[in-house]
Amino acid sequence: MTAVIQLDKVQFAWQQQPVLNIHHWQVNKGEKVFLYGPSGSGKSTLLNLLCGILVPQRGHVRVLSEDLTCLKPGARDRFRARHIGVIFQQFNLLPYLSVRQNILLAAYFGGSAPGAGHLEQITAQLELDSAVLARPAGELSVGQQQRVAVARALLNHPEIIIADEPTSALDTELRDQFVDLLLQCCEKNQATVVFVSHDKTLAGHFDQQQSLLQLSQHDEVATC
Amino acid sequence: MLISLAKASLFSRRLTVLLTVISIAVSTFIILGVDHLKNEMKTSFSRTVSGVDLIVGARTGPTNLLLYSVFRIGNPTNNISWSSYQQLKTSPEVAWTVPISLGDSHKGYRVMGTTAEYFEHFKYGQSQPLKLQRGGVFETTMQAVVGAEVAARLGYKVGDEIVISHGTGDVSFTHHDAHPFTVSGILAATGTPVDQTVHVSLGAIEAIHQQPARPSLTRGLSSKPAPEEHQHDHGPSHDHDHDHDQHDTAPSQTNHSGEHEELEPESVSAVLVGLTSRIGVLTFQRKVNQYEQEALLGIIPGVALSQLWQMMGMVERALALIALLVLIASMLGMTTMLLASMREREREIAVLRAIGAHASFVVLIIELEAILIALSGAVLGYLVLAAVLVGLDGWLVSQYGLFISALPFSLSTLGYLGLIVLLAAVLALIPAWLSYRRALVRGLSVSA
Repeated sequence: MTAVIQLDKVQFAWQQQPVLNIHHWQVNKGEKVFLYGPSGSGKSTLLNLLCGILVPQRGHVRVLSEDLTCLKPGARDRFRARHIGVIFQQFNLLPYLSVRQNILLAAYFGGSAPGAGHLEQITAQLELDSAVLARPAGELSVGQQQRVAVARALLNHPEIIIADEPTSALDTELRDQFVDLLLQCCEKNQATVVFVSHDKTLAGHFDQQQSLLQLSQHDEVATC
Repeated sequence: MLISLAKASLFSRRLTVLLTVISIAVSTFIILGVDHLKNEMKTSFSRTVSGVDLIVGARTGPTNLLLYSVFRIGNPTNNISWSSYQQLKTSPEVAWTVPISLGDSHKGYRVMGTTAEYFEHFKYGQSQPLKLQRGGVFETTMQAVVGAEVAARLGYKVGDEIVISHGTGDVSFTHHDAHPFTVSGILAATGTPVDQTVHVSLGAIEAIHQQPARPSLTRGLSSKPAPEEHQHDHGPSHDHDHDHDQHDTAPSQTNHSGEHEELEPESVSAVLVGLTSRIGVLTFQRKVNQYEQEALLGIIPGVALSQLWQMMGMVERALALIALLVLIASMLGMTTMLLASMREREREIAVLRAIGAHASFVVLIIELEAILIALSGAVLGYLVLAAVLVGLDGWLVSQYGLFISALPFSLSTLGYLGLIVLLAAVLALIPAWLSYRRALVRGLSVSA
């Protein structure tokens, strides 16, 4: 099993306050990891570290064997565009652009030209009919928006998908459906999934689960 | 991609963006308008007199002499005696002279006494002669040639009778209505103060002041007995340049010059002089200034005009300053608009960051938006000004005698537009920099 994500002795503090302290954490290729992270557990910081937006004060963050801590900011941004797809809990799309333009933004920043029919293929996988593509993203329902976000995250064939509470704006019925669809699509595209949520009921969909509270052994963090 | 993103983003905030564009358009309108007006003023200024080598008047300031002899502004403080005029006229260097006599008005328009040679020698613009639109030059004493604006505003036709008032105020209480004039001709528009002048013969000016019949008072005062000798109680404020105190003594000069003049004046307000050779202007000017019999002043119109323009430069700079302040205000408005939008756009920025945008991308987007706003505002302002100038052209000429040519697209216009866009780009660095900092620190987390 090859490690896709590997964190070693990572320490991150925000304005002198320690936020994260991870001795070792590893995610292997093809795994679908559920990361339990209640608010205040340093969840956002971990995601920013994995995406290369923030770098830890100490330790190493290796993604796909690339040490992000050694890359320059511009290189980290390019790395993120090509290898990582990010899905937020809400507001993933620019409301004034069409769905198609929103998806193609990923291709623009990833410096890739999606092959003919690739975009349609991905949107079909996510059960979005082609009529939706021309509509402004702001007009879509939240469920549709989240599926468009997944389509965009998958456009550049990323090795890793990071989802940050993508279901929190959905109601219970849609929630499980969405998580299944997401995992199914990631499997088809051979992407490793890190799914962060405070909702433990979703853990059943995943083959691995991990609590951020245990991962980060910082007393201060644990108490807040 | 970048541009279409910026455009879409601006379009999604079209109301605030539109207002900002309009405010920039207004300031562009003002800046370009002031600049254009200044240039037009300068042109029309230098157009007012041409072909005259020297203007001679009684000793006063050069600007004052220029103002009353050419622009019909202010009043002569003193006159030149007829004998000095004759001396001037017969000087060997002199090719022609045109005496002018000022001090009366007609419904707020200045009346100028002169000779028929005026219409022959006085030039404006690029040595363009005065042209009669209708009728002819005055041939008898009681005829008048009116400027284009006078005719248009007061609706005069050839053959109409007009009454000249004493003094130059808008409201005059004494009218020379015992001596009505007949309009003999109407001049074509020139865009110079000539349009606002009523021209009569020198002899006519003398005649209306010399006749024993005293000018009557206006109707409101007519019941009261008229002053015994109206010429003596003018007082210093009633600036009349004809020497009434001596009007009883008949003019004693012998050489009768003007063909049309039955009466010979004792003095004139100023003399326009043309020399046989322009090379001798400075020498002749010195000669005039050193004339011993009378304190005279000779000015070269071009030199005096540029001195006057320098004085006007103050006003011009003040206008330019105001235009600049308006621009700065609208630019600050735009910066505020961008700053205010940054908060709601935090999410947008987080999304763009997540899909791989560098933090500096934010700077680019904001700069691009500011430039687009400023550019469309500046272009809009230019177009509106150009359209307004074209639309108002006829009205400005007929109402104010203002000749303002169409707005050119010159290098200086381009400079102003460039300045506006540049200023916008510099000011947009403030919100751009703040967002950049935030994008670096906040990363993917949205409004924590």
